[in-house]
Amino acid sequence: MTTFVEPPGPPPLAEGGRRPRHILLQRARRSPTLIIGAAISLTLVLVAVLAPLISPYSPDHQDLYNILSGFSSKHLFGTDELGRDELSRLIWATRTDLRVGFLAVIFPFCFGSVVGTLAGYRGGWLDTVVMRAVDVLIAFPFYVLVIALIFVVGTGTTGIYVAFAVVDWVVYARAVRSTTLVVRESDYVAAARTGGLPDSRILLRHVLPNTITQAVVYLTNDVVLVIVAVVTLGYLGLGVQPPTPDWGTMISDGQEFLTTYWALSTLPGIAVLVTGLGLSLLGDGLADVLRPQ
Amino acid sequence: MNPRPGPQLHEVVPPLNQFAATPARLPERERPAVPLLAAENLCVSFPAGKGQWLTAVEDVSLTVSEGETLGIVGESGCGKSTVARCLAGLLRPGSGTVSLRGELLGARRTREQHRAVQLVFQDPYSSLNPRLSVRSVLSELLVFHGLAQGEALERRCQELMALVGLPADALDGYPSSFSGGQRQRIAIARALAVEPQVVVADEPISSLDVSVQAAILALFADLRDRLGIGMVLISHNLAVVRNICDRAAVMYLGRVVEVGEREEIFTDPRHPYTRALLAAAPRLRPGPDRVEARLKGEPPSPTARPSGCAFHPRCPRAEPVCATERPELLPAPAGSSRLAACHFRDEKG
Amino acid sequence: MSSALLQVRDLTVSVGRGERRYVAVRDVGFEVPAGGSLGVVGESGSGKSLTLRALMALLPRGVRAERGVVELAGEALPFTGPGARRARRGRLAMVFQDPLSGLDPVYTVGTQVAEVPRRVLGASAAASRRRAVELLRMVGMPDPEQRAHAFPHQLSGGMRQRVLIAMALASEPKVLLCDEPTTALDVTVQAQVLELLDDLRRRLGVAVVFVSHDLAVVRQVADELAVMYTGRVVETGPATEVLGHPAHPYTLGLLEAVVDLDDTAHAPQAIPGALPDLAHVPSGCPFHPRCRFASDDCALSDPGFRYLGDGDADRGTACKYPERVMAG
Repeated sequence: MTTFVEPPGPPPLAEGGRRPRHILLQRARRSPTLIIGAAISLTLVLVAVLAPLISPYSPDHQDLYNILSGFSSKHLFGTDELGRDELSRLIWATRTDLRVGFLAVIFPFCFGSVVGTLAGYRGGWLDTVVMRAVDVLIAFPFYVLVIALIFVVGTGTTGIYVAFAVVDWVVYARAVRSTTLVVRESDYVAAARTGGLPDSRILLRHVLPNTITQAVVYLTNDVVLVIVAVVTLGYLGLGVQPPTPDWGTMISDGQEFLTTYWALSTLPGIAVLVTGLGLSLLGDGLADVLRPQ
Repeated sequence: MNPRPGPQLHEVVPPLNQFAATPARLPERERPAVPLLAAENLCVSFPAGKGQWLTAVEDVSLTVSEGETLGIVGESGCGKSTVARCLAGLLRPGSGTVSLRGELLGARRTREQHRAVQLVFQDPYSSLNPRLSVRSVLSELLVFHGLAQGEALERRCQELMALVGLPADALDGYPSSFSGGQRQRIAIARALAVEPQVVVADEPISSLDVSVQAAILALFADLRDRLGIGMVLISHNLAVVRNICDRAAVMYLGRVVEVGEREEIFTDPRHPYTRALLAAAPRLRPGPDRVEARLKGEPPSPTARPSGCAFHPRCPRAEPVCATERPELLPAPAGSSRLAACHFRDEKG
Repeated sequence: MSSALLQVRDLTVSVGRGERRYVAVRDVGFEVPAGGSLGVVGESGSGKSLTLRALMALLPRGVRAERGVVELAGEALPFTGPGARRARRGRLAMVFQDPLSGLDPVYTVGTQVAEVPRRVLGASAAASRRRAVELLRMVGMPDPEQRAHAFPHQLSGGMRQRVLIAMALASEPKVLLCDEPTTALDVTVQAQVLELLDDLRRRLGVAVVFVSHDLAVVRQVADELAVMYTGRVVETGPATEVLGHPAHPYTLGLLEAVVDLDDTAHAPQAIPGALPDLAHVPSGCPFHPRCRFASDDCALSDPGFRYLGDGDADRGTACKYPERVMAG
């Protein structure tokens, strides 16, 4: 008993059926964090998806007679040093960075969750091996490893995907493993075992559904980190390569014009900020809603 | 009472909410030569750090026959839950065996062997998977063991619900929609779904409200009578054990200290610990003032077992021999089926 | 009535906000004489624990005491505000259910028991330590000077519960409120603690209010009994009277449902129906849907609470037709 305020259970079966999903939606509607976060994230995704339609110019189109122009009716946010429309580049960069960010996080999420579940459930040598690997990888500062890997594999999106695949799975593994350790000892897993169900089925139907929420919540936070990392790598010239528009390269390119044409660096920066905020709020909101009450 | 080969769930039975438990059961029963479930010399130890071992269960032997209910009583640390897990195959004993109708159950049980012994857990709020509907839980087991499919599957699920006194639309619900008593019924339905031969219930009603306990107890009694399964009921509540069990075993610090027919244990206990438990149990109606000295001290830690008889530091009857020689579990009085592990087992309470 | 040490009247506690608000304790009242013991019995949702918490001004967020009067020796105690806790020092003390969470794991038990004399009663460090050892000895802890240096996790459940009792006694209260103090304990240890409470009551003259869901346990400790259902008191009276001749169908139902060790002939009978959701309590008498003595008017109007004027001043029931219950 964790709480002494114990109203007796809900009226017998009056609200039976489809309860978990129904309750989740109800809670979701009441969480301002989730709503705002979802709104922002959704807007960003729409911008990314609809980029070809809403972008006034092609992001590569260079108007060399019109470089470094300020805000004008023709170019809402001005042009950069090669005469490319800033607004268009911002829109297309949203597309690039969101895409790379989401893709980069898929493998770590899947691999980390699976490995974490297996390690937590089986224990023994598998657990030891996995945990030592995690310890080793976690010991290195994140960026040091990522950059080192990129030097090995090469710059560009391939490098990004590989680097994150190697480095980022560990946090998922650890989070899922600890939840698995708890779920493993629960009575309903014990009941499944006495029922004669094989481990594979128990893992799939009884353990994973109860541990995956942890990983999902972590995912929403990790996406932010990964996107920021992608931008950072772009800034360092190690990430997405030109001419593909990317907030990081935009910031880096616009650096030298900070005092004169500040929009070139600042606007991409604001875009990163808003993205980070939106996804973080979404993550927090989800964590609140998914938390077992 | 004809021992049947297995429970028949074909008949749909009416709800059992109002069913009163049958009073005192018949004392002598036909017992087949080979018991349904037998544990022999079970020993379970856990590593307790610093090279120490915690002996949770030591040299425990128990039997359950068909249609019989065995109660295991004891306080915390006595090892009764560990025994339950060994019987159900969740825990591998360090030594000793568990057998089903004489057939040894090895370290890894087969599907059939798993089906034979089922567990009902104490806490109804954590023994059901919160993400699965009742129908999913039952169907999974029925399909996996090939007990029903297609149309028959739905019918069987409904029969199980009726058997435990729940309406058919409970199948659609998720655990969070149900009260403690209802969840426990679902847990019982889950145990019965695989048509077990023995159901081991580990404190199945202690987390429930008083008025609900009576209903679940009645359910257990009715299922036992109707289905002819063997039952092991683990409880710290002597009143419950006396109400529903045919035989009882008393455990202390990992060992069985007394075992026998129900009325023998409760009216003529031959072990001082059993007497102390009976004296300490709170009663509703004022009885003769029990002048026996209150048991002093607390159950010792399993890592620091007293020498000789583990109970001797707290025992009002203890004598020097008790500290040096551990008493065996022997018939008391001689020739009877009741066993007691006390040097003074022949003395009446 | 004026001899009563602790008087509670019309205590009402609500939980939740706005449309999700429901009444968890409704118009609860009882009295405890000096040195007396009252047992409060009920199942989950009966409001018994909340009642104690309200008496101690320990209600959590979202739970409010709407109205009610708590008087100790005639002096009213406020429910909220900074004065609330201060007013209870030296008067009311509470013993909680779970000794593991009731004790701070990073301090020794001696320190925790000494905290009250030191900070509340203003004693010196040395005097507080001596008092702590004295209190531990009083609650039957073997070797108290040594044990005072132990941490909670080094002690067994029964010992921890004794420490909680010692802490409660440290402020020298007139009334000890006990919230299911023995539920988490083994039966032999429980017997010891119940005997301790009885002993302390007689020696120190402290009154005890003992909340439990276990009728048999309460019978060991209490002279008087109050039975609660869905937040209301449905029956009061001397324990032997209430248990022997219940005047409310719920009490009767509980007695029939309990499995008693000595009563082998009696088969426990469940109370039909189920505990109602506190947010949707049945109209009129909340027990009527489950009551075999109910008439039509039981659903229509609240039966209130009245005293059976048969010489027992504190024998009361919330049933309109107690004669039906006492006959059948």
